[in-house]
Amino acid sequence: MKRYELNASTTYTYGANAARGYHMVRMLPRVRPDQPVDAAELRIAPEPTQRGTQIDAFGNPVHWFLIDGPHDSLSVEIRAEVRSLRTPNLLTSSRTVAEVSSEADEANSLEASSPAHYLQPTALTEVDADLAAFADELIDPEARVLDALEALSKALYERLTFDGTATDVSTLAADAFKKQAGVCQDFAHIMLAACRHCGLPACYISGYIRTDPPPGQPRLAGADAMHAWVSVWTGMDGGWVEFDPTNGVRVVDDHIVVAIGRDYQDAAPMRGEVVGAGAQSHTVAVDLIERV
Amino acid sequence: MIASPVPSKADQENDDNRPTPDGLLAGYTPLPGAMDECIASDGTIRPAWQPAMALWNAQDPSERDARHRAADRYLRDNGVAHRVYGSGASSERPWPISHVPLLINATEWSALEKGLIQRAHLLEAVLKDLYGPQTLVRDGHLPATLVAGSPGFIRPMINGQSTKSPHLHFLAFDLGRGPDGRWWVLGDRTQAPSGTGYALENRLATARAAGPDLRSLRVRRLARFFQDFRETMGARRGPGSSRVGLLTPGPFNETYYEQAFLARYLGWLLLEGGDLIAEADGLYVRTVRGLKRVDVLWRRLDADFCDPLELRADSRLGVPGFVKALRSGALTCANGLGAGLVESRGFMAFFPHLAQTLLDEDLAVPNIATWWLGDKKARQAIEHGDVDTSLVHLSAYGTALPMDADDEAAGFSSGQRSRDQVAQEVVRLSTMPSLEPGDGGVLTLRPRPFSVRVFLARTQEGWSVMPGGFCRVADTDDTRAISMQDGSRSADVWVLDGKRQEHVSLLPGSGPAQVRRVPGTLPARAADNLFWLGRYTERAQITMRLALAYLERRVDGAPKDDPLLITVAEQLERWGIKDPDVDALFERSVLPVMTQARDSASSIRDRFSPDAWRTLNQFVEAAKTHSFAQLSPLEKIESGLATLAAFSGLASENMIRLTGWRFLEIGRRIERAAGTCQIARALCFPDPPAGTFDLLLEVADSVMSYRQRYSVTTDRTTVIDLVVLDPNSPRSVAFQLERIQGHIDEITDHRAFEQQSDLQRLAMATWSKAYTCRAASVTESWLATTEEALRAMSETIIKGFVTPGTAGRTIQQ
Repeated sequence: MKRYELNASTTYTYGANAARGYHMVRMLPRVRPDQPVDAAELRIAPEPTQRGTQIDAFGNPVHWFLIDGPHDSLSVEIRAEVRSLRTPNLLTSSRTVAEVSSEADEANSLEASSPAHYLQPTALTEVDADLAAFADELIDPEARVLDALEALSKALYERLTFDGTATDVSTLAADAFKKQAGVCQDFAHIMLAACRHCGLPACYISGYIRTDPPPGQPRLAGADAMHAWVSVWTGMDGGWVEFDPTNGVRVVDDHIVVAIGRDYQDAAPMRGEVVGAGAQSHTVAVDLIERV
Repeated sequence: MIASPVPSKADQENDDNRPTPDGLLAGYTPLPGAMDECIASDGTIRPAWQPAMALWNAQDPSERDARHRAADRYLRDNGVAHRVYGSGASSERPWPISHVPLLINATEWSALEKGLIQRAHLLEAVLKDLYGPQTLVRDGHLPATLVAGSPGFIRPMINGQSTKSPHLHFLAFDLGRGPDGRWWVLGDRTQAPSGTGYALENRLATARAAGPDLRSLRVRRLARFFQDFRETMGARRGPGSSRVGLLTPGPFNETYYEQAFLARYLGWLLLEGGDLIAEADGLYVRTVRGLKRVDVLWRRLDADFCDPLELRADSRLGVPGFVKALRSGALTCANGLGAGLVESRGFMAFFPHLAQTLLDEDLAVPNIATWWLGDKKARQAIEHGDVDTSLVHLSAYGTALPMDADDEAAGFSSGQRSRDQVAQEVVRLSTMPSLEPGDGGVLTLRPRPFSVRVFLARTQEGWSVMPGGFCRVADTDDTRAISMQDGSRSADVWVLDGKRQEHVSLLPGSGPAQVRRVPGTLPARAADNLFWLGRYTERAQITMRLALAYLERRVDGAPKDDPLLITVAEQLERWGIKDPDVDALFERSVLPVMTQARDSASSIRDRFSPDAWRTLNQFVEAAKTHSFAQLSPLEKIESGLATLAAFSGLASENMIRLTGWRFLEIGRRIERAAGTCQIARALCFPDPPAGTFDLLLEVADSVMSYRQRYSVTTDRTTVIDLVVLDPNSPRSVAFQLERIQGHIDEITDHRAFEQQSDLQRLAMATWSKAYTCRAASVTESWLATTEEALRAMSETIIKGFVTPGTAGRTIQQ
């Protein structure tokens, strides 16, 4: 078990006085049996005219707010105490890729955890010929699904360069793959595209990764902002297994889950519309510190 | 869970004494293997077509020709158009109509109606389950992957649809008739079906061509259907003065014309996403009097574009917070955001079985046989060739009709899995007569394949089927290419009734539930467009009068360096005309302004009389033709002036004297007053060359008024008095100021904007100053100050009424 203290903030500075802003925030840790949240707080400045919370279709908690009146900046700060009870998986899938894919066809639920939602490519995760060829080469339908996924995650970690300037939030998986560079979100989108191309249900996860490395270990990539990784369905028995291709690891207890979805758009930390804001600049700060 | 075609009864017609084809039908041979609507398999004319064929054969060909031309003219003059996407630019193309309607007799129609209503109930039940308890998926009646993979599955609406509000309010089915004589559903249209407006326009056009035929053949009327729909939607409004709106993707949508037409016809607000603001408790339209509630919306915008916060983030057409407002239950959205789900063709494989499960009935009108290949048994049956029909493999999530889905089939990648595919029977459509030029250009009837879209609306008495439809007729024998984007034509659909038809007018302004147009609900965007329309039309007129005055003097032999003409040329330059002596003067300088005016008018076509728009549009279109180019610059200007005079007349005579009209008026009058001030200032001061005052009278269109009042010679004081100060001259600056002041008073809502009371003061002060001024005191600076005040009024109106929202929106990610 690991106990974390989380502080994160995101600030927009507008070039002109915005008349109105409507936003949806997915930044607080998701409550799960293996991830109890002991305290959580979300502060917004300026004070919203209206605000509230709701649960979205993927089970993510969403904070929405409306600022009706002139404002030249917007900041959202969160503070939370959260524990991770996750341990390396003991139950593992012995299924092949092809078996998992046809098991997914048997899904008879539309709940957020149903593999049925995560089979189709989205606009951001469509493969092109190159990415399809890469996926076909790495993922043998007859291979054991976990072996194939380990290989895929490792291959992405080794081949792609982490580069914060190569891409932006609207970059397509296929384009990032062509550049062989990107940030965590691109690594995740490429892995999603490859999995779905091979018939495996895979979902996008946004969250945090510890910012202080465990003693004697290097700092993990993606720690300066919100992180992203993927979860792949490995069959009825194996269930969902999380991979972090940006760091080439299986996810255990260094990651805190915030939101899941089909791609970045479903899980984006902030989606909003502002009226009359002019040019914008944006800063993000994240601290996820283990409390010993 | 496999749909299989049910064999139908043989042709029902067994009358021995039926007439055989002659006249128009001479040489008409049905295509082998296809059923023909008009000619039975034994070569005789089917009963439904006999009276009509007799009528048409009795017609004199020249009369028939004249009638068809009248219908074509109606469609062209009303600007009935369909936007066509090409490479890069898109353009509107005229609406081609096939003059022979599809005829369906009442007995057959009522069977069809029953079957389609059953299907509407089925689709509603399926949606209700999938956005609610989802037992159909849990119990294995529908595969989860098909539902979750369908683009029309709008996840935020799961458990989000108000229980009071159904998912479906208005839908359409595309139908075709198979070789066995049965009608088949080719596609379900539940997202935002288009075509009703075009069907109405086709009826209005055929009514011109065949009014007496419609009566003598007892063709069912369409108006009642729309009235019932309008009343039902109206009844869904909450308390207070809320409005019904039609949500449009905007003027660049391929069926925008239709949407504007329907909004005007039904008396609903035509709203773009930018007109609306969502709050947690509902939806509001930004009007010139602040926010007004809208709680019933006919949605013609695809669901995933409706909300950039919860749906497609790249949509610029929606309203942030729309989903939330809808989930609050305060809004009726027709159709519900999730309704497009059942358009995916994969569902067609399951509807026959779902009808059993949910309704305990067989489908009365089957859909074309469809196999979902995610089902092992279905896949094996197809692979083993057990299915006795030719099949096409398509995406399970696609929505195009099988004959329009060539692209989808071609783009089918090997990566797609069997669960993403359906096999669908290749349809062989029946044919109907179409009048086409044959040998030597003589019009003859030929059999052409067709499909027909039939519309259903939920009314207070349940589902109602529009007695008619939108028929697409192919221009070849190939049944696989009937799309309005291709060369096909549309046709009216006549349901022939035994009963006399009660008359329900199609024109707005009749029937119940017509009390509307409460002042103040004018959307700010419409006000903006009307204001600029007024300014553009007036600007074009001033420019033309100035150019006319110049050109007439040149034609009379005045040299280019005549001092007066030099001053006029300087003025013309200020109005955008660099060299008034070039031949292309009109095209270069006047036509662009008139085109801007036409474009402003185009995006508010629901706001004023079609005649006014038509006048302007016809001129702008005609001005591009070769024959127009042959005219002299003088002739072109004269024709442009005549058009604008007609436009202004129609716009002001036919427009209801409400807020919209006032914005149009204010735009015109500000432009006219400011233009007159500017020209008078430039021409009359300090030392006007000879002939200046006559010219000023011409430009101000006040020659006649002057002659009636004064002698033949002109001087500054009397001309200035008439052109600037005379409160009785409709062209004078003072007259404009008085009108502007009155309109501004009317549009001002004292509670809403402090800014507007400043505007009122300015308008009143400027008018009083002109009212109390003597001609001798009108100096160059007096005119400049007045002009300045007019510009300030214009800016305040733009700022005060067109509040931020249409511009300056940015999406944060």
